[in-house]
Amino acid sequence: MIMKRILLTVFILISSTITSALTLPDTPQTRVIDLANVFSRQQEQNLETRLQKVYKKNQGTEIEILTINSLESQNIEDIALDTARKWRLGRKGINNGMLILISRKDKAVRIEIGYGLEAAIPDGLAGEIERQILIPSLESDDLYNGINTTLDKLMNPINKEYPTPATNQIKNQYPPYYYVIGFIILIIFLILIISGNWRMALDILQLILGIISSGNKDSKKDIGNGGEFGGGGTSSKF
Amino acid sequence: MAKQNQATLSSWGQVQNQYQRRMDLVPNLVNIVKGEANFEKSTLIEVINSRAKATQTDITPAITSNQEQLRQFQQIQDKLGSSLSRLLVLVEKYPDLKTNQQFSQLMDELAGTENRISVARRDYNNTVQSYNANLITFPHNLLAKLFGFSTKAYFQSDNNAQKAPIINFSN
Repeated sequence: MIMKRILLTVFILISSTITSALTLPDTPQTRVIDLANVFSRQQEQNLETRLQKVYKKNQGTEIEILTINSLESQNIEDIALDTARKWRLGRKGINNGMLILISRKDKAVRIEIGYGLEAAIPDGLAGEIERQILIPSLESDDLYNGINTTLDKLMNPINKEYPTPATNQIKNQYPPYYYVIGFIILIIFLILIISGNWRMALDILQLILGIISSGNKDSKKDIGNGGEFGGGGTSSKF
Repeated sequence: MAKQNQATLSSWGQVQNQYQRRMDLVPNLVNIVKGEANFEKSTLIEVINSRAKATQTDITPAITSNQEQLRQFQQIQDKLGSSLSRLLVLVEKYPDLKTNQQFSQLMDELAGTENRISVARRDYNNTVQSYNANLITFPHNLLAKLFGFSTKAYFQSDNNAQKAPIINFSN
């Protein structure tokens, strides 16, 4: 029984550390990452502009296009999910991110959809787009048009779901009682200094620093910080 | 520790959602397939029966602390999964179904759900793994005894059952 448990733990450990042999950037600097060199420079630029517009207009909807040469005999589902999560596509709390992954040699595509887009883009729609647009465009070596037509199809539901631009307000990171507690601690700190109790004052200072740094941990930025994907979307293969 | 406990419970919630999602899709599938004349009945009945069995079982989050209950739950769900995949293989023989748009979208939903299920299960196992690892280290092991936290159960990796039915509609 114990042996079984150990083996199981080892198995889970191993299976969770297997990542793709592909080298991908830690964070995507552009909306289009064309590792398979499918697009011309101009095409890449056009897609980039188009996707940036979506990002600005539709509440930070983050559509990322990634082309790779080969899956290297891995599951396209695993690669897409790991990448979309790592890149934290979508806005924090909304998770309106999407990854369109294309593997050129395998003629395989996957549309990976974040939680915040699952309602707007059901699997049936994603699958239809793959079968009717993306796969044929891969076959005829015209992925650029395929992607553009895909975006045409996607924009309707996205415009409905996220019709307005993102508001860039930075939320107040600390609840009001933090300030009250902070004020009290500051008073104690001052009293300790005035009364010459340096040791205790130092302890209090440490406490303050601790609180500040723990507050900083939570203050992640909103944009590009979604990344909650549950394996939604579909994949097709030629 | 309470935070990690919460994480295992919320990832469990996701597991349950996705299984529920699959169960909700089955009646639609059954309805479409039924309409197909001469469809082989036995596989269809098997799907209906295994879904009925899966809906009967009453599941609470407490199941996550009980390896035996979780194993049973998994067994029932895997049975539904395998009878579904047999049905989906069979469906390949019926060209009318394959060209039916409603049907192919339903296939997408089913395939998508199978993938969501395996993702949710993997996520759940990962949260349980870090929860369990934390639970047996000092001083958490003492606190755990005090507050009644216990180790959680894993999904067993049965590769055959876990594999989503492979559906390939591109001709």
